[in-house]
Amino acid sequence: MLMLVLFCLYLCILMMLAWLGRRRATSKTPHDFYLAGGKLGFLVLICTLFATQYSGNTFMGFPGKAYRMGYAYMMSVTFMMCIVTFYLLYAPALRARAVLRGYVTPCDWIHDRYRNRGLTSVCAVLMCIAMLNYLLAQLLAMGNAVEGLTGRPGSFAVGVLFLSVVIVLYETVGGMRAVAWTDTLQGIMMFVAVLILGGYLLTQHEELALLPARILELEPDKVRPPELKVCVKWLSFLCLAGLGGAMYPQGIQRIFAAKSTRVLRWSLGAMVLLPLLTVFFAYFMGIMAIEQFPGLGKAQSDQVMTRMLDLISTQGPVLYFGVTLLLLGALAAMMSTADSVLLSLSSIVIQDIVVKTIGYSASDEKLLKLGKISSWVLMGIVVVVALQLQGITLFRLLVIKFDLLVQVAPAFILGLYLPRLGAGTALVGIAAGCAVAVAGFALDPKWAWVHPGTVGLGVNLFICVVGSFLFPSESFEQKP
Amino acid sequence: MEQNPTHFLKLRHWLLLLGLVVLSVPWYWPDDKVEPFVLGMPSWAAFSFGISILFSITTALLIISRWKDGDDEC
Repeated sequence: MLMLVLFCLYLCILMMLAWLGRRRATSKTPHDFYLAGGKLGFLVLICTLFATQYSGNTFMGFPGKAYRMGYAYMMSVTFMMCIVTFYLLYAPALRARAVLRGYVTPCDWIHDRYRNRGLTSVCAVLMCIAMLNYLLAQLLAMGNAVEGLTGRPGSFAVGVLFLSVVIVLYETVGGMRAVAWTDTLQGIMMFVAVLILGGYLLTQHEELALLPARILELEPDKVRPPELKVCVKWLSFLCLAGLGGAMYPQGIQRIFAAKSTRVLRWSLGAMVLLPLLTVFFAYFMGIMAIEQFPGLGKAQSDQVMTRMLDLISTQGPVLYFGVTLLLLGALAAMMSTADSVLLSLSSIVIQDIVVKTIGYSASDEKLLKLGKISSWVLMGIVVVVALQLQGITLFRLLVIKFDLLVQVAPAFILGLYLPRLGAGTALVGIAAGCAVAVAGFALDPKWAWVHPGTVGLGVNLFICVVGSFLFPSESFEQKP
Repeated sequence: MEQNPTHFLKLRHWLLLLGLVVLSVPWYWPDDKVEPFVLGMPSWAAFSFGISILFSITTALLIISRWKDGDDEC
């Protein structure tokens, strides 16, 4: 009952923020709708970065993976830090250019730098594939969370449908301003939830001290140091997911949307510290679940977080209230990531694919209308797929996405450093990288020490660097 | 392309960050050595977490101290 009351209150506030976001719109332009006019201040920016980067995977997928992998899943903490570190490869230079030239989507930079329609559309399509995948993962996480909360198998579909409609509604009403403001609320809720989780873990310090010894008896491989092959895969994952995460279009658009460089750098400086609190606690819940719920299968292990929270909530009224807030925070994490991905997705579909690739021309107002319609259509498609895919392991989805998305990185980042890198070379690099990644993923060799996407990235990088010397581009002109 | 002042990290900074990331992976840890247990973790995981803390603080300090503000308010 408490959960229901708080949830209704939360939804009302979301809608109110969306309406306020609509009222604060200064013009009906893509820059205003998709980037809030480039006016996001420190509090809103840090909250929207936090709420967007920390998702259903953080709250549901990560504990599940920690449960399956054991202590070696410490890699998740470093991986979230690596995303911010990889931003430093391009964010300062790209931010300055974006402000100067009025970029709205990441592909605006690709288009401006290479002046090649084919490369722009390939990058846009790869980003769309990754984002559709990511959106799907959020919907699955939302369905799992609702099912875990209610304990009724049919509630998965109801949860996915209802929450999806809410997300599209406030996203299309207020654009980035509504998304960022609702993210602020959601980010604060998530932070409070994380503090509650941390507080609970601190009260359990005596039990936690004995935890490794108990797990060592149950499943010793989950406590022992990982073997060399796992360590190499760990490094490969940091490279793949760190750089892939830094290529999320919704993250890049927040770099464009910051009010100033000062606001952006303070936000990123804070962001790199957050995994120490957030991801670490999620990871630890998965580790604790190894002792509490031994022997769970893959699909069941994705729900260890909700099982742990069920267990904690029975330990007194304070913890019950804390768990209720935490579950709301987890749902907020999923919704905030889904709304940001959806907004970014519709901006790329309209601005990059429809306008730049197909060559469709219309007024800003008409393009915004098309963007809103595309949000409804895209969400509808993803909802249908989500309902078909109940029970899939979330982490698998996460990895497939990064294998492809990371292939955009060489063209995107090296474009800032290698003036002679041409569109043809970059395209060949992307094609080779994707081919290697897809082939490796299809074959799924058990003996492989690194992810297929990492191998593909290496091939892609090699082609771009060598190709820029062998076949230097003459088309790129230095722009202010 | 001329040197862009917004590429604010030098090679030594990137090498420092890379070194910390490589150290955060326990490839060098002896097999089967899990004790002592620290903060509910085997020793290798606690060490890895410690390096991760160092990595995040170093990155944050580099961002704050070396990335200069531009006159770029929208």
